[in-house]
Amino acid sequence: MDNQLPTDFDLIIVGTGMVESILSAAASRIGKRVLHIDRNEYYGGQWASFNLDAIQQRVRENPICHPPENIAELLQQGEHALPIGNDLFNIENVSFNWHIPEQTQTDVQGISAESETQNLTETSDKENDPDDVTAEPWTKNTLLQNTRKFNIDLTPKLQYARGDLVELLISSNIARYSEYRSVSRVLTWLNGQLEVVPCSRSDVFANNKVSVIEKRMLMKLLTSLTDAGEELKDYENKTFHAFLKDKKLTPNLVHYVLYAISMSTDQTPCIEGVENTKMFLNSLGRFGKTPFLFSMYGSGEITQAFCRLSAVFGGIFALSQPLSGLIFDEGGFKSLLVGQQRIKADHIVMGIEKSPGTFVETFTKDYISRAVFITDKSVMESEKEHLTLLVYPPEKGKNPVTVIELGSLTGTCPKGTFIVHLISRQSTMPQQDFQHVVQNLFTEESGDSTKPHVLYSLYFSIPDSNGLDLRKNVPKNVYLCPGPDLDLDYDVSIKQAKQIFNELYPETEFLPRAPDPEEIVIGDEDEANEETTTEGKADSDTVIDELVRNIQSQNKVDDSVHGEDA
Amino acid sequence: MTSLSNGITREKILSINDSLRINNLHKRELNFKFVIIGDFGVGKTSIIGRYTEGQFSTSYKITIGADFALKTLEWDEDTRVNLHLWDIAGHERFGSLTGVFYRHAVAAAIVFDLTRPETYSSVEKWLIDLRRKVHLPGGLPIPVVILANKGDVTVTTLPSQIEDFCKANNILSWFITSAKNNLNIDEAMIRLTNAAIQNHHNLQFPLITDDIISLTDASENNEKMKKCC
Repeated sequence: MDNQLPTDFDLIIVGTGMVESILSAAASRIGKRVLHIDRNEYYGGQWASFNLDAIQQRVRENPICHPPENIAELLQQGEHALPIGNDLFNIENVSFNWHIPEQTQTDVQGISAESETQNLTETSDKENDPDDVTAEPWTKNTLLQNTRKFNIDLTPKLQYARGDLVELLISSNIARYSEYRSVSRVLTWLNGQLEVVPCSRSDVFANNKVSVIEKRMLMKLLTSLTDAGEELKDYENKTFHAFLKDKKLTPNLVHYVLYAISMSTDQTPCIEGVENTKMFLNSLGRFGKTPFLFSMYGSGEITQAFCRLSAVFGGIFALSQPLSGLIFDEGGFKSLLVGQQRIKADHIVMGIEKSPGTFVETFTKDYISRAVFITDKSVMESEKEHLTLLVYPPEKGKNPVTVIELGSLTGTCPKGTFIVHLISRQSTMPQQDFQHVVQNLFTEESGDSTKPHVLYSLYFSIPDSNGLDLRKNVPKNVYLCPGPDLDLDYDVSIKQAKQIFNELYPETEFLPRAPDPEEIVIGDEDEANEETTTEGKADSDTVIDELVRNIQSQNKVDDSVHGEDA
Repeated sequence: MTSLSNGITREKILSINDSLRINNLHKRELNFKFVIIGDFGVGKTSIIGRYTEGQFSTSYKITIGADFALKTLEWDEDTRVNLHLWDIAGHERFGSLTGVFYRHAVAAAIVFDLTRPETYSSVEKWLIDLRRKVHLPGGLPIPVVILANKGDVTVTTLPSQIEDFCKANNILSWFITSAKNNLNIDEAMIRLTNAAIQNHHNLQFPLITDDIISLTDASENNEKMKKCC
């Protein structure tokens, strides 16, 4: 594993966030020599998913890598070195809390016997004994014993079934690296309680909270929006809210359409609200009951899927590397320093948190407030396990809050638990931003059985670097990638990646379809040896030859199986 | 009557073909993902090439664009096994394999080069990475074999501790292999396949895969929707 890295590349990418990973795949795919490198030992950067152990250590990890002491010896004339990483675009305000005891009384007594059996079998998790799940209350120890079953996203995302990411994954054939589950219900908070948002025609008609007249109004509106054009001209400078009000919808319907279906606020311009609604409607019915998909095993899988494609097409991946600086001269970026080794490339792409501080110090930042809860049941219990999107509308001067609740079927938490992600634009601190939602939906005390019990909570703030002019302060051949954004999906990242790709390699196709494994012949094409050519060219007898070989190889296998048994 | 060089008649083969086809109809198919890992240049791609193509080349290029190679085994009268052999493609060689690479793997071969002792020292690192990133459903470790490759070269000395290492680390078995001379590769793969089949039978975990969506046009649930949009 400890080979020296090659020293000459077309493109160096530092950091494994979403935009960086898409670019890595796109550049490798067209044959560019890509080095994708990071100091972290994990994939995903601020888009990673972690198990329960790791997230508590990794969440704020982003050390600045300073040039070595002997830097003068490594530089040539006219060159200067800058550190990698800055403390301006870090995850901040991290706090985590356990709301359950470390262990139960019975655990304390039986602990020695239990830990022994665990070493032998490695399977003493609760999951293997489904009856046990509800019987024993969770403790810190039992949750941590199940640490590997958790995949906790720093940046949870959903995909519209017809959004840019899904289309890109399919057209590039990267879809084969990931699996999805459909969000099975969309909820909203309306008149002091949780309500199911009617998504599809059947939902609308099955919903008993919506009157018959409202049902007709809603269907009429949704149908008219899919081919709305003319009448929208009058609303160019008005809000979507105003548009809906003019449609004489009831307050409940306005709420459903405005906050839940179009994910808008009272200030969202009409055009944007209509576009969002169209995306929602167009995405319905493609893969599931709601328009949204969630990536199994966590959102971090998506960055890894792009990285895997990059590797398959020749991209060299090197994590856990002792990065030690960037070398520039008058012409811009020249080389990356890894330990004492210089690695040169024509261009460098970096996640914004990997950038030297001098490139980004003038930016003002927004933050995204985040919370992650492990709970013991769903916010709205039902027989079947749901994957829930809850759109919590703006309330009492608070920003709207997006809540994603994941059950064990998503491969992100053990059976008997749920992971709840809360996302909002930060106005004060994460705890304050979510306080009203937590009060209404959860309890931190065990005993109150009506609401889900928060077993563990984690709060943090992620800088939102979207909307900044990242080309402003950097040399020509340096490209910075923004970090996570507030949107539900990845469309912003794809747009950013395409833009940088077009600047790097204009007139080149962005992620053309990758062939399937069965379409590729393994081996050396140049030295196709004689045996193959003669065998392959015998046309009329080819089928027979093939058969003979099949039969012979079958006999061989049968023999060996036999031998194995004996 | 057309007679082939080995004396089997065309008609005979056609009839065998028919019976094969009929037999195969009721065969159940098992798809197993195996990962082949180990240091750069130890011969992973050659081993896969030898096993799936029946050929050996000294000048294998790093396989561009291929995730895995396929080997189909007519295992017994009722079972066909499709082995998906995943190669690390040489590029993730700096200890940086994605979870995506390991996902759903049910067995692994760790390869080292007998002529380069340092590649044996890496076996443990690969094993740690593997154990950390992949398990069978339910948490059991996946079966692993170690392949001491380039067994055709005569000057080799075998690492003396390999037997102990295997015992201590729950390694199924180890083999001296040669992709060049086709030594022990079939044996190693059959050993792994056996273990995978046994796990498949024994571990009937309630793995709920219903409703898992893979993004292909085939899994779209409403063709009409597509047109109307």
